[in-house]
Amino acid sequence: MATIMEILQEYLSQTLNDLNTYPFLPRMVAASVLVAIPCSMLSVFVVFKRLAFLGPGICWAAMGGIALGLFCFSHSVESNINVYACTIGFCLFVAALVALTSRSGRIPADSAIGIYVSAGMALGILLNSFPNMHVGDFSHYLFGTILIASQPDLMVVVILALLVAGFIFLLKKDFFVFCFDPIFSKIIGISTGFLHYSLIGLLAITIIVCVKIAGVLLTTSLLVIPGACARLMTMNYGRMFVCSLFVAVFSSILGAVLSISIFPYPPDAVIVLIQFAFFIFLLFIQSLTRRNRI
Amino acid sequence: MTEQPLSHLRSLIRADVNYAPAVCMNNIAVSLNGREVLFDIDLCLEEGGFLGIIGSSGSGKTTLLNVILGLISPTEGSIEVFGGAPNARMRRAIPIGYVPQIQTIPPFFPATVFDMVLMGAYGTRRIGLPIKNEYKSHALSLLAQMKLEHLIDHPIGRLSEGERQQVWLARALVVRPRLLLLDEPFRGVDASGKRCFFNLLFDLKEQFNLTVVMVSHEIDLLTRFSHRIACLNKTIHWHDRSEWRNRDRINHGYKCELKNHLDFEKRMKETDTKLFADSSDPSIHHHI
Repeated sequence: MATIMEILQEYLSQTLNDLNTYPFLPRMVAASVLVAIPCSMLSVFVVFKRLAFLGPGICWAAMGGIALGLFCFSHSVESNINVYACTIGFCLFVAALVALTSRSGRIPADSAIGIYVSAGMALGILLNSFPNMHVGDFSHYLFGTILIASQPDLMVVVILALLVAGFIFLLKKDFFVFCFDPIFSKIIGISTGFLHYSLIGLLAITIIVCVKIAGVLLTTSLLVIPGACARLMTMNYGRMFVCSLFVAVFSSILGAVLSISIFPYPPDAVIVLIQFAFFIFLLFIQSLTRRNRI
Repeated sequence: MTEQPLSHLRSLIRADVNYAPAVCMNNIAVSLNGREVLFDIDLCLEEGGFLGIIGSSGSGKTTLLNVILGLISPTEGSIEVFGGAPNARMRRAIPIGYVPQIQTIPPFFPATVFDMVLMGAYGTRRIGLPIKNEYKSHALSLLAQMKLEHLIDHPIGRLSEGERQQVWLARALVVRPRLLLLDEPFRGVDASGKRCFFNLLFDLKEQFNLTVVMVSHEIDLLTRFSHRIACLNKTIHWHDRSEWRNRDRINHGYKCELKNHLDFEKRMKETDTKLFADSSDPSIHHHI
């Protein structure tokens, strides 16, 4: 027992030491927590509306956006901002197409995502193969890593987190009816069109912003796993947001700190695996407590 | 057939005194995807009335309800609900209660019965504000009246079908609507459950002076409770209660649901006798 305490103490002091020696580490922890907040809140709806595929989809569609940006602003490849703006515009355009196509329910959302995303990627590959266009690896425009999050990046995530939290706080109940029974929500005078478009739009913005900072792996996992965990943890809609936030923030802090102490390991992979362990644990508990399911 | 003479008479008298049409349809026709679903529908429903609608599958019953709700706008003709065209703004101002067909709900859906009942009042709240306490207490009193208090904190996914239909009724009534639409509210509910539901519905109708439109296949219960019954088969045929007592006349007069219903009953009786005959067969008992 004493040895465990000693190891823990040593571990903690080591971690604190690391925090002092590497000045970017606190910023990394802050970035992972900040990214976790908007993603985990939206993940409740992602699980309800089966939009888990939207995360990776938008990221792949961004390839087309980057290529298009380079194609249009090739004289100013150095000024990344033009290309980045073009990428954001392209991603929002793809999200809008997905929302528009899946609106009537005739083509389900996941099919719509698959269609537009493959078209966007194909456009990217086609443009990239033009003779004077080859840019090689353009992943650095998009797939950031949480280790090198910059100050303005963090400011953008703070604004995003506030936006998402405010949106959910104001329209929580409307979204509940919308997820549960869209026709009934129309009958009682809640506009389903507005909710549908704003949910997909908000998700697209979150994905674009967070992928730039945290990378595609961490973003897509944060958009699904916390919501799924919350679904297993509680039967109360309001409490689902709290549970989802808890899982995401807790695993972000733990993962970031762990990856600091065993330094060369990538923090996003550690965070995702902790979330996954959380989910498997909850699933196990679930199978113990509810034996006679339908 | 048992009657409810007093209450029924009362509602009729009241309907005559303050005669104001709740729903007024004028020569309505509806086409969906180029197919004519409804035509030549004239319907005027006085406030406080109880209209039953029967009709075979595909006869346009649900479409008719959707027209009243304003979810489908008619291709021809006009409709007024409480003197205005039904649209989203109207539905917020003058709420319409709606009880859907039986729908399946995942057993782990994160909502309690009380959440579900309160959901009916979500349309009335302003953005960001909580739901008024008035609606919360009304939801509680409705659940108490339905004798469902013990289920208030129960997950909605774990109720029986009959209980869930009562919850949907409470959800429809929580905003104190003046018009209540029910779309085949009890497929799969047993006979006593249906009778309970109807009695409850009738009590609530009297209590809140509701106008009720019900689509159902329960002809016996409809004849007992409703003032008028419409047979829908793309267009409407009218029957009043006196006509319904003489079923033979209807049987000859219209080719509508009732005929099928009577045939069905006859066939059921035949198969019943056959079944009983079979069950008296000793060989079956031997197997059991």
